[in-house]
Amino acid sequence: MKKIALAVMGVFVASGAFAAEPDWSKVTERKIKLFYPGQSGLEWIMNKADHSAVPDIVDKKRACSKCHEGDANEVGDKIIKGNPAGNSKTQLEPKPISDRAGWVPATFKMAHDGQNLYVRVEWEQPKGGSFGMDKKNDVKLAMMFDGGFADGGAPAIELAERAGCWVTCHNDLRSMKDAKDDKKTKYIKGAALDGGKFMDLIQWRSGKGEKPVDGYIADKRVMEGGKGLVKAEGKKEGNKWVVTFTRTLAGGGTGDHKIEPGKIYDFGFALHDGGAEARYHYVSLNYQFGLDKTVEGVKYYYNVVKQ
Amino acid sequence: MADTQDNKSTNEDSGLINRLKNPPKCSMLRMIVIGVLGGIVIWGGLNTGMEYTNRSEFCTSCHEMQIPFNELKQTVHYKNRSGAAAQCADCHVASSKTPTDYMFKAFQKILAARDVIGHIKGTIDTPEKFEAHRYTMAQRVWERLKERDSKECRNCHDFKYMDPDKQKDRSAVKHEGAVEDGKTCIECHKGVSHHLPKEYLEQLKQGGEKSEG
Repeated sequence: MKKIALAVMGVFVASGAFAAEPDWSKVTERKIKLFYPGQSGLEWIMNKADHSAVPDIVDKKRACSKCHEGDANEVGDKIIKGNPAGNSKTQLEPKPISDRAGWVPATFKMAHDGQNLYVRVEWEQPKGGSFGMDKKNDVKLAMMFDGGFADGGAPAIELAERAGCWVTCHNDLRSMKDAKDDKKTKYIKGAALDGGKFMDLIQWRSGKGEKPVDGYIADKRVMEGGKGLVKAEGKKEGNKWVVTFTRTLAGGGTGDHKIEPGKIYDFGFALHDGGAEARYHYVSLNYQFGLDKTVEGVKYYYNVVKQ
Repeated sequence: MADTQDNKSTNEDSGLINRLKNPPKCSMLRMIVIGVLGGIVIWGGLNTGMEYTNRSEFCTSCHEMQIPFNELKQTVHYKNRSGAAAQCADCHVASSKTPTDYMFKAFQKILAARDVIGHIKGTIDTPEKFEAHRYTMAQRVWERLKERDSKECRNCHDFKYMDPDKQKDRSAVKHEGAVEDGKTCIECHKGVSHHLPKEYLEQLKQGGEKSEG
């Protein structure tokens, strides 16, 4: 039964069908940096001429986070200003944006109760005017995650455990460098809904009367079909935004991944601020989570503890 | 008979050779003093000559060397927070600071004669000519550094003394990988002191070698 609460700022729609959110004060907080990626599609990331770390990614299985968690802010600042980036000194933002920050400090917390996964993301309102691309929504926050993999295994989507959301981001998408079709949205190469080769997508939108999105990304981005998102809410407290998602572990809809114990899931966040669309968002690097599972030595892994 | 031959050869030899063959009698003490002093003068002279010609002022007295020197001045290897600057010779002549490596240093000095010949012939005496030869010259230096396991870099930088916590993650990860793979500094850090040759940059664009200088 799909019931979705209206995600109106500061309005909480209470319903008996909804599980209660955990006591967030007891949940571990993880600081992350949402940064401006410009036109750094997967092809740029995986091209050695552009990005010197390609052998590390391919041969040593290094994840983006392993190298860039510390300097994602610098990367974002560099890109948004149109400064040269990477080996090839590429200008990854062809239209430099002077009035916006290159990155946004954010935090997330995650918990579960055996039924639902609860996600809470907070960030400070970044400076900058409106892009005016999305007339309805000034702010959108999305989370993307894959179908997970067991210890020693690999995710269904190649590179997902290293590149996170970048497996959906390509040079030929709308607003990207080689765009030929302004309708072309995110996709995964070799996507297969029945093979688990898709990214689950949930999104909260700030617009009045706008419904949360429970979709997925396979051979294109689909903003519906999911049955797992119980609730998505967002509110602004002073200068701080707080967005929470309640998502069933079972999923069950089209493009819904089942979240089960024992697996490690790859995920990331995207923030479209100031009515931004397409590439004009802030994104997180790749992260991983698992239910009540400890993973040693992976600093971008988050253990989702049962509350 | 022998006397006759001696006299004969003495007559044929010049004064100096004659004196060397028949040194004047002198005390052992005097010989030692002269030997030690002579040794100091010769060795000191060699060393002074080596160090005198290792100064960047000496290198840049040939005007074409102002080109790479001005490039160096723009980099962190010349001007930085702590004021530890590298001079031309630190990378282009430096020994590995091992006691037995003086020969290498001397050999580099002899090779530097090529630069003098180049200067006389005017091979790279304009920025355009310098640019035309930049790739050849750079490859020569890269090759030498690689062969010597970037010893010139390691005179100041050493994996052993690096503090990964003070490095950016990406640098720490790269260095960890470099140690694993037995890589040497110059393989990643080309162009840290001088502009990269355009041919090399072109190669990079084609997906060739990598540099993070």
